[in-house]
Amino acid sequence: MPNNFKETTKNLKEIIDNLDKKREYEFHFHSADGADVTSRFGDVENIQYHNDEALTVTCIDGKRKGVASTNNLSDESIELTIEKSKTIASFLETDKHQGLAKENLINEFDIDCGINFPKELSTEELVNMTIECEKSALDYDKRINNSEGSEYAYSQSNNLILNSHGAAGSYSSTSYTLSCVVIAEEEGLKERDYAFSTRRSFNQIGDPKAIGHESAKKVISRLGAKSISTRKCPIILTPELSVGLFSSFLSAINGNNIYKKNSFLRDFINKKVFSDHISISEQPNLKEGLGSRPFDSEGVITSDKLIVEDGVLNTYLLDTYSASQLSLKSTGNSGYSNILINSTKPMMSNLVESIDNGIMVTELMGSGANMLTGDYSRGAFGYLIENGKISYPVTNFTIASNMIEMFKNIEEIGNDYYLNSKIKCGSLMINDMTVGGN
Amino acid sequence: MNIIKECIFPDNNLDFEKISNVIAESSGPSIDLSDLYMQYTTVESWTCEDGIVKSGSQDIDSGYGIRSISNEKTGFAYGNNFSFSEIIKSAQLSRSIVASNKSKSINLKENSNYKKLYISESPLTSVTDEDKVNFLRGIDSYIKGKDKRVQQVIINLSSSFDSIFVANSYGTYSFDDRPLVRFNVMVILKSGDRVERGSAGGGGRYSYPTLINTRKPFELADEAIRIADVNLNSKPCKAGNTTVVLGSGWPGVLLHEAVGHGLEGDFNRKKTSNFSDLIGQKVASELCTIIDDGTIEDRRGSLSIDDEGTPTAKNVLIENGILKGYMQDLMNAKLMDVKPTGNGRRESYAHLPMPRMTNTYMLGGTSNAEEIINSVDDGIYAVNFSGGQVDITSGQFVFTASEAYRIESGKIKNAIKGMTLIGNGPDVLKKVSMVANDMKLDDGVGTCGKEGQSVPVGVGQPTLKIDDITVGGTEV
Repeated sequence: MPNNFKETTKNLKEIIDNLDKKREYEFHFHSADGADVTSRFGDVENIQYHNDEALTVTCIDGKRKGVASTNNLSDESIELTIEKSKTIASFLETDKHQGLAKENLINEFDIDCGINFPKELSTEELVNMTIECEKSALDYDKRINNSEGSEYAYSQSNNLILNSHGAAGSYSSTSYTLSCVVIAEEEGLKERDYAFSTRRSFNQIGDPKAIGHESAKKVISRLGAKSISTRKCPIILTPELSVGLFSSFLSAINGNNIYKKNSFLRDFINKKVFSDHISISEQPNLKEGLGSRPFDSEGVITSDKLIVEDGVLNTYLLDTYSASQLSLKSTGNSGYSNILINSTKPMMSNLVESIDNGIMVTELMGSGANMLTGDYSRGAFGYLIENGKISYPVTNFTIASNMIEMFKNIEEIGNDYYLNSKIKCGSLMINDMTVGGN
Repeated sequence: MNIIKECIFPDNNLDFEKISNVIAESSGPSIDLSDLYMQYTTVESWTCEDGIVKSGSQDIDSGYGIRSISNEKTGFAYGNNFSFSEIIKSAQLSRSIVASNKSKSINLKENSNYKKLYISESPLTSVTDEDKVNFLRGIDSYIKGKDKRVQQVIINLSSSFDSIFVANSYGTYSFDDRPLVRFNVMVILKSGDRVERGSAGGGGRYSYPTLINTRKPFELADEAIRIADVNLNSKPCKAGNTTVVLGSGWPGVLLHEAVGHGLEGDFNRKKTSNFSDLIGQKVASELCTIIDDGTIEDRRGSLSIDDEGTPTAKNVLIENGILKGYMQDLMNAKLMDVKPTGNGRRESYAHLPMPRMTNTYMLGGTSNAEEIINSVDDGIYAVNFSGGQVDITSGQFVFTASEAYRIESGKIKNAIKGMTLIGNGPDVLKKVSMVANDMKLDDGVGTCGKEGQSVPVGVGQPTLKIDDITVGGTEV
C-alpha cells in the first residue's frame, strides 16, 4: 500500500471521528495509478500515465441523503465537500429508508485478499510486449493487412471506506491487461476482431504471442460471412457473450431494480428462473479473482452465497437502502464480486457437436435487452452449425426472445470457462431462439 | 466565469509565462504538437422517485492533461495537483515519448476569434436548490394526476458547468465555459398483466430557467406517458427483411451510428473505416446530404471551440450522396494533410482528444411525411430508438426501437415491441428512397461513447424511407 494512501486513510479517519454525531457520514476514497501503452505496426503509438483519486462524502441528516465528491484532497476542499453534502441533504425530503450500513461492518485496514500484485515494469518492457503481441497477429495470415494495435494497461488501485457506525476498511488491488485488435480483408470486405487477457497478476497474463495469435485466428475466421434466412433454432453463445447474459440477470435481481419494479424478475423470488441443472454462486474471496473484495462499497463484509440453487432464485442482491425498501437485510451487495455459473449436467468441451442445425453466436451488438419486460432482440455475428460441425460464418442477422424464456431454455453449459471477467461461465446452448435474416 | 482563469491560476501562482514554460517543456524539435488542457467541472444531479426528492449529489473534478505528439506517436500524462512543479513533471513525462530536447521558448497569444454559442454562467446556481426540488415535485404530481396506471415515476434534473483552458505549441491559448442542463423522466405503466416503460428527456447548453420555466418539461412528461401507453398495446415483431420508415428527430441516431463514426478522421487515417479512401465517391443515395454542425446556439452537441481550441464549424460530410470530407482533430488533420474541422473532443483532462461528432443531421428533402407512409404497402414505422452501435470496419450497425408500428397498405397500424434494425451503413444509405421536408433535431439527450470516452452530442433528420433492411423480432 503506497504511503500517501496510508496518510490519507489516517487523515480521513481523524476527520470523520470528529464530525458531529447528529448526522451519519460515510467517506469512500479511491485512488489509482498506472500506465497504458499502445503499439501499432511495430512502433509505439501512445504512452499514457494515469493518476486518479476521488473522495465521496455521503451525509444522512434525519433520513435525508446528500452526496458530494471531489478529487482535491486538500483539507479545505474536504471541508467544503462535507459542507456541500450537508447542504444538499438539508434541501431533500425525508425518506424513511435512508441510512448507512450498520451491521456486519468491516473493521480492518490494508486487508490482503490476494488481488494485489504490484510489479515494477519499465516502459520499454511494456512496449516490447505489445510489439511482440501485434507481430504474431500480423504474421499469421497475409489477409491481415491492418491493425488497431496492441495495448497494454496496468493499474494499481486503493479503496477505503469509513462510516460513522464504525465501518473502517481498506484494500489494494492490481490489474494487468494485454489486448490486440487486427483487421483482415478479402475481396474488398473488411472484418475486425480482437483478443485480450486481463488478470490480477502480471505472471498470469500469458504469452503475448498467444493473444496476438488468437486475435488473428478470430478475424480470419470471419472472412467470407454470408447472410442467413429467418428461422427458429438453438444457438450457442460463446463464453464472453454468456457473461453478458448473466450480467443482465444480475442486474435484474439487483434490489434497486426490484423495489423500483423495474425488473422482469421482480416476482421471481423462490421461483424457478433457470432449468434444474443450473446453480449460481457468489464467491467474494477468490485468490486473484477479478471481482474479489473483502467488503462491499458500503463497508459490509462480503461472504459466499448461493444465489440460484437448482434453477430457483434464492435471493436478491441487496444493499442497505434496497434491503430497507423490501423489508430485508443487506446481502453485502452494493455491487457484486465473483460470480460462478455451474451446471449439474456434464459440462462439455464442445457444445457444437450436439447441434444438428443451429448457430454459434460470437458477437452481439446494440442495446436490445429490455430490463423491464425481458424482451431481447440484438444484432449478431456467428457461424452456422450443420450436423454437429461449424459450416461457415454468418452476418447481418438478429437473435430474439425474452430473457425469461432464454434462461429456462439454457440446455447445456460448456466447460470452456471465460477468465477475463468476474463472472465465470462457459459457452451456453439456448434452445428456441428466433433468428432474423433475409 | 472561467474558474481556471479566476481561481486556479491565482491560487497556484500560475501565469502565462509559466504556462509557456510548460508548453516549451512538453515540446521540442522532433515534436509536432504539444498541448496543455486544464479543466474544472462541477456536476449536480437531483432525483425524484416514489414522489420523494430523495437524492442529490454534487461532484467536483479538476485537473490538467499534457500531451506531446510526434508523427503518429502520442505521450500523455495528467494529474490534479495544479502546482507548477507537478505540471512541469507531467510535461517531461509526456515529452519522453520521443528522445528529444525541450523547446527554447513559446510565445502564447490568446485565440479570441470565435463566436460564443452559449452563456458563461453556471447553471448550478441559476436557481436555488429549493426551486429545483419544487420543480421535480411539481412534475411528479402532474404525472400522477394524469394517469391512474402509473406504477413508478423517476424524474431527474441535472446540470454541469465546465471551465476549460487549452494552450498549445502552435502558440495559442483559449478559454471556454460550458453550461449543460439535462432533464429526464421515466414512467412505468401497468395494465392487466403488462408493464411497460416510457421515457423522454431534453436539455442543452443554457441555465435552468430556459428549461424549467417553460411548458417543455410537461410536454416531455406527456411524451413519456404516451410512449409507455403505446407499448402496453404492442405486439411481437416479425423478423425478416422489410421496408422501414424512420421518423424525424431522434431516429437520426441511425446516421450517427451508420455513417458518423465511419467518417471520423482517426479511423480513416488508419484506413480501418468502411469509408476509407472514398472521398468524392458516391456512398449514399443522392437524396442524402449529411452535416456535422458544432455551431448551433445552445445545443447539447455544440461547442464554441473544440477541446483543442479550434473553433467548431458546419462541416458537410456527404452532399447529394457524394462523400465530401471527414471530421478531424489537430493530429489527424496534420497526418492526413487537411484542415482541422473543430471536431477534436475529449471526455475530460484525463482523456486524449480524438475526432468526435457534435450535432450530426441529414437535411430535409421534398416529400412530405404522410406521402412517405402512404407509399408503403407492408413495412415498419420506427419513431423512437433506445440506442445503437456500429462496427466501423465492416460498417455493420444495430439499433433498437423503443417505439415502432406496423404499416399496412399505407396506413399506420398496431405498435410492435422488441424491434431491432441491423444493416451495413453504406448499403442502407444507398437504399434511402424518399426524404421528407420535416428535418428536426432531437431534444438534447444524446451521449456518444467511443473508446471508453463519453461526450454529449446531438442528432437529427427528416422522416425518411429505407427500402429493404433486416429487422429482428421474435416472430418468424
